[in-house]
Amino acid sequence: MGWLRAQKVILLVYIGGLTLAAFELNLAQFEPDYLIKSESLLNPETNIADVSSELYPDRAYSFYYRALQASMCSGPGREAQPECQGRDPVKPHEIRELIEHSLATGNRSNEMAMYNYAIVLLQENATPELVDAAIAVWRVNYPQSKNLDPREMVREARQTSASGNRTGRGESEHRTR
Amino acid sequence: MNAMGTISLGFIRSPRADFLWFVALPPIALLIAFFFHNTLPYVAQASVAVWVTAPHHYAGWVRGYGLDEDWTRWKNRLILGPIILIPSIVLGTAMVPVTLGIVFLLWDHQHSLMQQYGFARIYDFKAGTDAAFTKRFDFILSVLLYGNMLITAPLWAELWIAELHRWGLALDVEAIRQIQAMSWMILGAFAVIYVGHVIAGAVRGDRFNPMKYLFLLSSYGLWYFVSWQDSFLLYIVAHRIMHGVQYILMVYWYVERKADRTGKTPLLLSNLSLSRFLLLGGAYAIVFHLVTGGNLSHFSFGLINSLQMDPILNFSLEKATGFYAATAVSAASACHYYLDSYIWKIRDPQIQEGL
Repeated sequence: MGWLRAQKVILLVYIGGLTLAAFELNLAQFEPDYLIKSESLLNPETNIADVSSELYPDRAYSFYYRALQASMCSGPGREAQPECQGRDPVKPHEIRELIEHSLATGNRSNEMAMYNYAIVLLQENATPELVDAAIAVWRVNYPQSKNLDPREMVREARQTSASGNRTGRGESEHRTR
Repeated sequence: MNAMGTISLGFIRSPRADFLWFVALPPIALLIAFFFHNTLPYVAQASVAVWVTAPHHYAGWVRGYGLDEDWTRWKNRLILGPIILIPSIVLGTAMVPVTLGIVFLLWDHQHSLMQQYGFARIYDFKAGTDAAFTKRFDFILSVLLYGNMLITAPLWAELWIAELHRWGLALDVEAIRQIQAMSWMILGAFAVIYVGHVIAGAVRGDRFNPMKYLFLLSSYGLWYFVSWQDSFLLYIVAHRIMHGVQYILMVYWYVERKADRTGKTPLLLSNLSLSRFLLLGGAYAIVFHLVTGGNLSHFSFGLINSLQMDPILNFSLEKATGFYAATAVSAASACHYYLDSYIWKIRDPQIQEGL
């Protein structure tokens, strides 16, 4: 009994950790990307974007989740997807504005908000100065990031999309991590 | 100890030192955090880990592994702890990274709350205000204050709401609001009980140490304030400075007091055995190597290269380096959390000698 009492913290850590590990090894939703997939963001019953926006409408992650939501329902053929039906159509520049709102909160813990902002600017053919500034902000804050340069990412996506169109397949340009 | 009626002032070090390091430090840490938030890139928060968090781990090593008394007393745990924890961290990093992240976040919170609770206990010990049930009341107050912050503050609610979605346990907005309201009600109800306990104690003639309450107010003031801001950087910087600096000072004072009172530990480092001194030298070499931009492969005994060569893992150099670094950082934190869970029992007379 004395031994158990002395070791209670470490025992709790291991019991809790092993239980969670069993879930992680067996459930698909433990993929690191799960929270930014359409199941998490567009589920009509409850999704993280709508819940966050209602609870904390002015916070960085709420704006960012809504930007991801919008990106999943914008572009050719996407509005017709079942999970996008019943949602307001995505307005021009809406994704860009939502990410700008997210960044304007001053929260810089979300690397992908900075990264995707540069991508969206490139997709909207923004001026090179704006694109360079956005990329500089991302690079300064995350100098060790392993992500591709956004210009290269968009170039690759466009090439893939062009070849996909030639073979009758449409590919996503948005990087929504 | 300075007694005035029901008030009994007691200090961990001295009035001036305590006001500076235990009452004023949290607001100072907040100012520093705002400086980081407003002027420095996000990556700068990593420097706080290097210059504050790593040294506070080192202070723990000095106490646990550097003092003969502690070494003799907890030899089994000091040896077995890292032997069990480090392979667990390696396996966790490789196989269940989400689990490892959740466990570390929760253990870090438990560790942080217990450090401030421990300091509160020291204040009662020093002032002789450790009345019946005070320990239990303070513990429940700490757990409820910290738990309420995790449940209701947007910075933490965003995290657990997201995790519930991952687990397929997503709650709707109404349910979340009800849970948060319930948390505030429980805290409020206990606050009334706590005040009643203090008043009843005063009527009985128990004394209390206002320094303890000032310290708790300052600490929880920092945590609650940053948890309602929309910046994880603010939390990381302010919390790490408060937690790390107070811990480093506590270890230093503990060792010094032990030396004064028992004569067993004349100076911080002079009582180290040769083998432990060599270990510290090795640690210094690693830090020096990293600070001067040295290649990790040079002291990893080929570990990084072997990860690259492994036909199953087939890591790139970057991935191998990242794996090595993530494992080392997590392992050091795990050992520190475990060490602190048993070397700071205020009820222990041998520990009281150092307080």
